[in-house]
Amino acid sequence: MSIVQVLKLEKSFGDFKAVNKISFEVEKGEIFGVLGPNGAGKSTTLNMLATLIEPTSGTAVINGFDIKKDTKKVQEIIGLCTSSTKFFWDFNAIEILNYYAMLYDLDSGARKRRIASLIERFEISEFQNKKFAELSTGMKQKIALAKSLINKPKVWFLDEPTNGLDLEVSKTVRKVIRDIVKEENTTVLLTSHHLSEVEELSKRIALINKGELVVVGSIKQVKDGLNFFDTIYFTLAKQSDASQLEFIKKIEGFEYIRVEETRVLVRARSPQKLIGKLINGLENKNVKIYDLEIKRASLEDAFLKLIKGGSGSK
Amino acid sequence: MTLTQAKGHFYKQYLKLFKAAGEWEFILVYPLVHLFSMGFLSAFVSGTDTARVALTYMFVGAFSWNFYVLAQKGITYGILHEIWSDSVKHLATAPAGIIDFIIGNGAYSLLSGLMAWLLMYLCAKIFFAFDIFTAGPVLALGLIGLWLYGMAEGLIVNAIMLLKGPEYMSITWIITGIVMVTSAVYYPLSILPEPIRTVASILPTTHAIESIRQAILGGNSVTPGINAVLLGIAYLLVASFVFSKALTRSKQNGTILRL
Repeated sequence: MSIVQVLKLEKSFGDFKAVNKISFEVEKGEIFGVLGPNGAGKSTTLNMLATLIEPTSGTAVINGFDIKKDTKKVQEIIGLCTSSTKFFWDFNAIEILNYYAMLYDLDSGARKRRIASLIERFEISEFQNKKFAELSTGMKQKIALAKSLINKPKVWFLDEPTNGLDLEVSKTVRKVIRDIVKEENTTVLLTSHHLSEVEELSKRIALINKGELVVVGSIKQVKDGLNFFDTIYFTLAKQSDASQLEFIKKIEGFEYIRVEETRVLVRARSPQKLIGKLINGLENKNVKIYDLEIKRASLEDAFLKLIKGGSGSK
Repeated sequence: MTLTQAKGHFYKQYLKLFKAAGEWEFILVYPLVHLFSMGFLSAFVSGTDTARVALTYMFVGAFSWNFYVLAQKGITYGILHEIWSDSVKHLATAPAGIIDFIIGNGAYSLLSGLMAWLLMYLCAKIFFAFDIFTAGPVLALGLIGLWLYGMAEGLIVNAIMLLKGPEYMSITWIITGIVMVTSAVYYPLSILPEPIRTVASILPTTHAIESIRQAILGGNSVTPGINAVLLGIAYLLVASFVFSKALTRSKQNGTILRL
């Protein structure tokens, strides 16, 4: 069941079209990645969904509430955390969380419980009485994440949440994201430049480039959609055996083959299905090989191909 | 609607009072600077038949002016604190509405205004034998009028900042200066040229200050005080509408992202 439905969302700033009629859906309890190069429109999309800015046209529905017509209802059920978040420099963590908890209409008892729970989850207690200005980047981001969860949001928008954080803190943040989704069935829309992070956390992703939605689906679907496949490399013992390799083109899942002297490259949608038949075939034809290697097409490869403007991987 | 969200706004300003540099100056320093400067000026001009009148004009001016400035500051700083700490987006995406913003920040401006007033009252009584409370119940009408208008002006300044950017904050002092001159804060309305008197007649500050002055000098009309309150309500309603539209516009054209 979709909890977020983005319907031909468009945003123009004067003559510049930042987001051009994108549509996608996010399932409840899913971690959905939104990727794209700088200036692609990712943050603009998230800002519209978080009701920070209004769309020029189109709309989105979050848990049944329209972002334009039911803005307050949407604000009650979402949380937004961006990178380099700032708060009042002279407030400490408790005061910051207290202030926003009031804005989200939590009564005194609910505030105390919620703040205590967030302090524990993000390990804030050791610096909870320090002024925000005195904290490290990692500590500040922990408070930002805690604040974005103050209202137990049903949909949690994370705009590059680990940007600028060290490996240890980034790891903690990713763990918290997974825990929150698991424990509270929260839906997450996540943008990040750390593609390995998105690949690790997200089941489905959307790729945005120059304001346009390029592809949306599972990571495998996205790679296939960009014609980016896994690759099998092997080396022939004898160059003359290259003529024996025609059978590979008939194996299910085969996409492409290139032979350079003794080095062979085979691209396939599902190398696991192909590899067994490949080896059997080579054995039947008495072709000896060395150095068999399977290289998985990473999301980073697909992403780089996208921003370089290619869509095929021949 | 609960009051919790309005409390949130009040809570922020209250904490700022104890944490931010320069906040206590508005309550403790500027009012006293004003009072003492006016006090000394009035002492200088005393000794004439009009000394009592001059003293009343100056002290009522000092009391009223500071109360109005604090009323405006409470609303203006409700947004400015967010702008200075680069946290406007958190406020703009929270479900607390404009009414909560006005009630919470307005309550703080009333509290800070009354605190400054109390301090000024004590010092005026001790050092200059001037008792503002001789104005009687009319004083309440005058203060309410000043408070309502101060909040309205704060909302207009906020609207300008939302549409044009925080660099337009200086417009506050321009508006304040114009109001000071046209409201006849320290002198009779009759001293102003006719065109300015016309402008003065539609400002709640003019009626509020005049109502307090006349009550101390022996007048018994409540009309100026009522006019101050009614005008204050009208200005506040219009300003609230303008602020609401400005917030929507800033979200439409993206200027809110620059704050």
